Order: sequence, then structure tokens, then C-alpha cells
Amino acid sequence: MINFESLFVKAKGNPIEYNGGLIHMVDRLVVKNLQRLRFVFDSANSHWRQGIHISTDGGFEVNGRKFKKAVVFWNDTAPKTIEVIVETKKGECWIKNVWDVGDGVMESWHNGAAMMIEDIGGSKLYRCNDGDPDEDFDDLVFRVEFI
Amino acid sequence: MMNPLTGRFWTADDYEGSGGDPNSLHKYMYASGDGVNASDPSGNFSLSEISISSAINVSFRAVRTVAVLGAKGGLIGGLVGGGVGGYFHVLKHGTFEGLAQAMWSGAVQGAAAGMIIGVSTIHPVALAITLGAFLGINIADAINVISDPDTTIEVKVAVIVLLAVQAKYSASAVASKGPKMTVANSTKGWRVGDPINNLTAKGNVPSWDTVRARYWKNEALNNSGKYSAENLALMRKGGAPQRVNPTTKEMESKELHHDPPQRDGGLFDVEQVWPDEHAAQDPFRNVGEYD
Repeated sequence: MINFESLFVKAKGNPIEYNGGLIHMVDRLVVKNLQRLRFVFDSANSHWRQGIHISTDGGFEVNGRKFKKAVVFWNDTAPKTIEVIVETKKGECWIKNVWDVGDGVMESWHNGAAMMIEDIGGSKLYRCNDGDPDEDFDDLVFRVEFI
Repeated sequence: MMNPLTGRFWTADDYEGSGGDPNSLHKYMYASGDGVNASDPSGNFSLSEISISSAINVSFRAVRTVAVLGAKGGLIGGLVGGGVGGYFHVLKHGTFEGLAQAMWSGAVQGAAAGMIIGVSTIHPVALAITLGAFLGINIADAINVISDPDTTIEVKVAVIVLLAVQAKYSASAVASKGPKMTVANSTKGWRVGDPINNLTAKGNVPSWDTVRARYWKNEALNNSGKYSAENLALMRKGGAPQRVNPTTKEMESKELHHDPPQRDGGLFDVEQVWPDEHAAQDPFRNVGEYD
């Protein structure tokens, strides 16, 4: 079984080649200030709770409420589709998969974690492997659309 | 107003009294002895003041909580105040004449004081302020009683004892309202899988470094499926799991956060958190109706 964690450590967190493509720990989305994004949960196939973690230098507006720096959407409590306004001076939004094995701790970036990212027209598709060190990249699948 | 602890009134009435009204000549009597129909507008505490200040603009549930706490405090305070008032009356005057009136006055004032303390228990800071104020007033009053040449030695001793008892229970009451935290248990020695709050083999409370090492060793035992082989090896030696942060390109360790904080004495109540996830908020927390 491939050890994504040690490969990412050697690469200092940069994307690494895997099966002819790249896999990522995190995605840096280039956005303009007050960019509107739509997050869509497509599917989840993990025995652990799955979530999308987004962060920026400013904050986010979700459902009319403002949040500083970082928010998380869990697939068992958030709606299937979430619209977000990004407030940023640096023009960036970081996106990653998080999971919770059931002890209430938000996990990411270790053990089997990795994401395959595809550009599809005006949106991006994220196929995520959570901490469970398999290689099926179906623990969480979600999209981000620019609107 | 009467101090139910010492059996004396805190302040003498300014009014000199009238020969036509014997009750008014008594400089330390509450509302002419009628605590039911009369009130003492110069007193520090009354039921209406407590109810208004505590209950205004709060929910029914909060009002009910305050009312229950106030009623409990009032009942206990009334009983204690009545008993103490009667006891000191007999001790000081050597007669049972006027006992009922002294007990009634003590009960009324004790009930008022008890209600204030009862209501204050909804928050440790309020309780500390209230008990501190009562203690301060009682210390000042006790000095007056002890320095009074008419006071017998029995009364002086009783006042000091009661003051000490009040100080001890005030401190205990405030401490019991503080943040709940796990303390060291009585078991000496620790092996992987044991509670992290065991004493050391020598019977000492473990240091924070020891507690942290115990925590990660237990995490490796209980949650081995969460971590890579590399991290499990670190944790079995007492170290925290690590990961590379792709935004900083640096390695970072999982942290243990104390709740309550370590500065408040919290040693064993910790939660694990990765640095990057610490600040994330969940806009849909506790919603759960979206499927």
C-alpha cells in the first residue's frame, strides 16, 4: 500500500506524481475579492465523517453570516450546495478535505490523505482520499464552481 | 439591618426614637419588629430589589432558576438567622424575654441574606462578590461586638468561631462553583492504557510533560487506525503525531489544548487539535436538517 504521508513529507507538501497525474494535499484557488463560490457535495464513501475545509486571509460570508479565516462544511450537517463569498486581499482560498473518525477531532493532511483535482469548465472537481490509507479517492467527492 | 451571623444589627438607626413608641427607641430593631407588614427602606436587601435586579429582561427559565435559588437561600437563611438571632439574644441578655421578636428579626434578615447568596450562586463571580461583602461586613461588625465592654467572653468567642466558619464555607462555596476539572486520582504508577491522571510511582502528581507523553501513548493504543506507522512510532515514545503543512512547507505537531486552561489548574482535561484546523468555524453546526 502506497504511503502518501511520507511522500508528501519528502516533497514538503508540494503535489506529487501518482498514476500519471498529480495528487495534492491542498488546493490554492486563485480568487478575486468578494468572489462567489458554490460548493457541491457529490458523494461520500467512507466510514468516517467527511468535510470540506476552506481558509483565506480575510473571511467568508455564508448564509448571510460572516466568518473569519476558516470554515468547515461537514457532509452530514451542511446542505448539498453551499454558496460562499470570499473576502481576501491576497486573492487566494485554500481548499482541503477533512475527516473525523468519531472522536470529534478534525483531521487532515496525514496518513492516507490526498486529493485528485480536475478542472471542468468553470468548476473544479475534487476526489479525496481521507486518512485511511487506501487508494480509491472516493471518500469524498465535491465540486467548487465559480459564480 | 441585622447581621444573622453575629446576632447584632449592622447599623444603628439614625432616628433617636419617640417616647410614645417604645419600639422606636430600640436602635437595633428591624421595622419595629414587624417583618411581614413593614419594610426597612434603608436596608441593603429586600425581596423586591433582588427579584427586579435579577429577573428583569431574562427568560422564564432563567427567572425560574433564580427564583428557586433565591427561595432555597431564603429558607436556609431564615432558619439560620432565626436560630442565631435567638441564640445571641439569650446569650447577651440572659433572658428569654423578647426571644420571639429577636428570632423573627433574625429570620427575616437571614432570609434576605440567604436569598441574595442563593441568587448569586448562578455565577461564581457574583457569589464571590456577595460572600466577600457579607464577610467584610461581618468582620467590621465582629470588631464592634468584641470591643464592646458589655460583651461577655462567651459572645466574643462565639462571634469569632462563627466568623471563621463563615470564611471557610464562603471559600468552599466559591471554589465549588469554579470550572470543573479532573484531578489526579489515588492510583500510583502508570502503564499504557491507564488513566493519564494516575499519580507517579512515587505518589506525586505527574508533570505536564509526563501527562502529555501518557496522552499520546494512550492515543496510539486506542486510535491506531488514525495514524501512519511513522506517527504511531513517535506516539508510542510519548511524542505528538506530526504532518507537513503544504502552505508553510514546514512540519507541525498535533497540539493538546487545556480546557479549563492550565493557568487555572487544568492539567488532565485536554483536547487534541491540529494547528491549521484550530480556527475553523462550522456555519451549519447543530443544524443537521439538510439531506
